[in-house]
Amino acid sequence: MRIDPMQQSTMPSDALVLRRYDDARSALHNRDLSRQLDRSTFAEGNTRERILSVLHGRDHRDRRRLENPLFRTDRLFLYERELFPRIVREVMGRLASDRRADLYHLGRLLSVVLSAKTAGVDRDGTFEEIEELADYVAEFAQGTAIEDTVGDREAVRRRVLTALERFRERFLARSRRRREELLEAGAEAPNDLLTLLLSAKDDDRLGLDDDMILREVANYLSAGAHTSAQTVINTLLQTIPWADVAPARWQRLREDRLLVQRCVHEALRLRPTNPGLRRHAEVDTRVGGHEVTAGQLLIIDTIAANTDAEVYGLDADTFDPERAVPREVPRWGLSFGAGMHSCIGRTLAAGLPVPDEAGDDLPDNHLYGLVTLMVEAMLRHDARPDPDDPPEPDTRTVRWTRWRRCPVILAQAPAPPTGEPI
Amino acid sequence: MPLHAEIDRDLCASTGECVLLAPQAFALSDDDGLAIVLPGLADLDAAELLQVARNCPTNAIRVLDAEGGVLHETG
Repeated sequence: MRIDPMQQSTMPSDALVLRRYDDARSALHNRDLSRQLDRSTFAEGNTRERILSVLHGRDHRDRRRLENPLFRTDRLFLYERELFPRIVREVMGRLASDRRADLYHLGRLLSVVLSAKTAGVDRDGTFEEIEELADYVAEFAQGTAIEDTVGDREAVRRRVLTALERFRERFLARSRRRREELLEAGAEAPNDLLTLLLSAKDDDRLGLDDDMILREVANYLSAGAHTSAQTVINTLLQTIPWADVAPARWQRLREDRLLVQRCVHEALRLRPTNPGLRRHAEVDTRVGGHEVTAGQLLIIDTIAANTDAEVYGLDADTFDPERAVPREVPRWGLSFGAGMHSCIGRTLAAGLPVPDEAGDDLPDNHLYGLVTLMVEAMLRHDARPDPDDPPEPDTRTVRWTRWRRCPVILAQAPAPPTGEPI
Repeated sequence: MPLHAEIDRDLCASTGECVLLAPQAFALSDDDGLAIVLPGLADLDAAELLQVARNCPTNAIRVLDAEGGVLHETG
């Protein structure tokens, strides 16, 4: 199934669809194009209003400069090398008894612990609360992608607003109170988004109010966890048939984490979680060979750009984690965006670019990304889609690369949980 | 041949990607969090430096050759 962006109900007839890699990249780097779509339709009364990902120009740059320190080297290493392996062990251990899971649910459970930590959402340490946060992830994700909703957009908006208010009462209020008390006492507060936002609240340049802080924290909780879970599914669904071609591939997947990372990058290229990125022209501008007029909408067909044969080769639409890719283009294509709005959590999720040649030395500071570790855990336990309960696409959105459920069976049972706090 | 790199301070969004890829050549300023170039830049070959520049999400790193010719432009 392939998206036809022109079929979307909210698509004006003069929208420009970009399918070539160079045009798409040029659009994503063009600072005259914004993500500020029609406010009353997409932003107002939703999770998206005035959050980092929709700000433009200087407002966006200043907010990004504030929040980027959350993704510095020390945190990435701490997450990937210390905290996440423990999370994987404890969460997977809960599946030990029946060896069955819905991969979308499992991916959210695995991801949400660290996304809550980054966002500044305090937990009580119970597994029930992790489950509850994973439910918020699914709810908020609908609001974030509201422009691509199939069906009743107002119903989505109402549900998301209700969830936001519940989240404020259940989680944000106590997390915020604790940080404000620490900041007032001059004590060290946790190094997270909520602390950053509260510390900068009096900076008029940033325009941070209480509702904005709620939305930003909710988005940090949700965005990475949702897209990571989706990417785990898309990677597994493409890697298994590729590996089944030859037993040697399975052997290498079990031994070579770098190959697993290449599979993640290749799956991202072919199945980006957003197949149609939107941009709005703030002024008349030029994108590649196209003249664009102020107010015009642009759709970046990510999959077409990522499978541009001039860039990725004549077999660009086949899954080949070992493909040679020109040095100047990312293996994951434009799936994390590019330019000012490129995904802030990219390195956390997908790690650093892999060396061009399999034999190249891997630097000590290499990061594989949390999605790679999740996929590796699934492969280690021989997870396969349940033949009697096939994956269910998420038909609530035109983002057709998304899944609502993906039941899997693990041939190898995980070790029982140790009870270590996560 | 020695290469040079310059940071466009207006474009730099403090993502830190350059530091992740080449910590010997780039750091983030303690003053404003923006990227700065370190003497260790000389340890990178052209291919490594160009990869860092191309990986910068905001394309804020300009790469020049010894004669001042632009190998990678910002923007």
